[in-house]
Amino acid sequence: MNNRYAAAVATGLALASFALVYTFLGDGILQDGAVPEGREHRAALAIRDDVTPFQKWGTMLFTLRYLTRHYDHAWYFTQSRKGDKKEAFLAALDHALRRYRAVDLFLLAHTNQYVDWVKSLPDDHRRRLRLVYNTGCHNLPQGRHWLDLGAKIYVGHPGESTSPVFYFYFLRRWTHGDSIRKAVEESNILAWRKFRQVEAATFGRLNAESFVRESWASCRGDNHLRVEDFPE
Amino acid sequence: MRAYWHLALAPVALLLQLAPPIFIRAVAAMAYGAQPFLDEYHVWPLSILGIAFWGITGLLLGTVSAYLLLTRSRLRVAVPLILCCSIPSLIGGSVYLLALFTFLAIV
Repeated sequence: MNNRYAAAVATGLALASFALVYTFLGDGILQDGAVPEGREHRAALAIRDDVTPFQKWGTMLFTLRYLTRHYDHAWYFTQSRKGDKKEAFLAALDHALRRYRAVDLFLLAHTNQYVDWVKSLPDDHRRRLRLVYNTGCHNLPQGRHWLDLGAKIYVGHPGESTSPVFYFYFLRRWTHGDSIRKAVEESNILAWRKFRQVEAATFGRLNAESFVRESWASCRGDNHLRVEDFPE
Repeated sequence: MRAYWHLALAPVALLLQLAPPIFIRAVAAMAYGAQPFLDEYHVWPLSILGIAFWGITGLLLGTVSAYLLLTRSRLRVAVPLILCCSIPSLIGGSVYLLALFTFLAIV
């Protein structure tokens, strides 16, 4: 085969490979580089519970850039045992609540009770809590407690959730500027499609409908909020 | 022997796809293992650099090996090696490149 034709075929294979991978793993949105307005008025905290080193690594690697880019300040905590980092987390949260107009919390942990930690903060500080997203299994009912504490919107999962799939799509859409309602709806559907792909790839060994039933996220509170909104 | 070295490049490209998971496990263990010694502050840039390196390496080796096979070997040798070695390397490299773009919030 002549050199030029071979170069074209080899380059085409590389491009086709990337296109194939993007088709299967991409989620259809492009981060266009724009950061929604009001970045200087918002902060975020994320906390990862004590899981395997790989899970801690993956969560941090994915989350950190989105938070530091779209929030004026982002704190990220990785626990090395149950109850770890409580003082540092609460100190950072209290500082953020006093300094910023809106503070979002990302609770990237199995079934958890961080709500009990946050109760200890003063009422007038907590009213600047905005979004609380909780990956915890069976933590959806916790939403009313977070709303009572001052959060404006709570997103959680109802059962033994496979929430990392949802979280991947959700964080990208929320920071992109979508409303909570839209971000949650689209992320649920994309996660459902991903579960269907896994079901097909495993010849039905994994049941997509069961995954969806347990993981389907819901909102409590003002689901029209976007990352650039500052409810008082 | 020198005339056939290009035949080895495609299997090498495929074998190198074992390296990224080893790298990832090593970084994760250094930062979050039983006795962590890598500060969490350094994990993100180190991981991004590693993923970028392995993504680009996989794509480059896959492309170059396919090109060399097509130009220097008969098709009945080139096609199976491209299918079994070069394309898996290209797909592996693409996965890491897409991961890189996602972690950098580019796509």
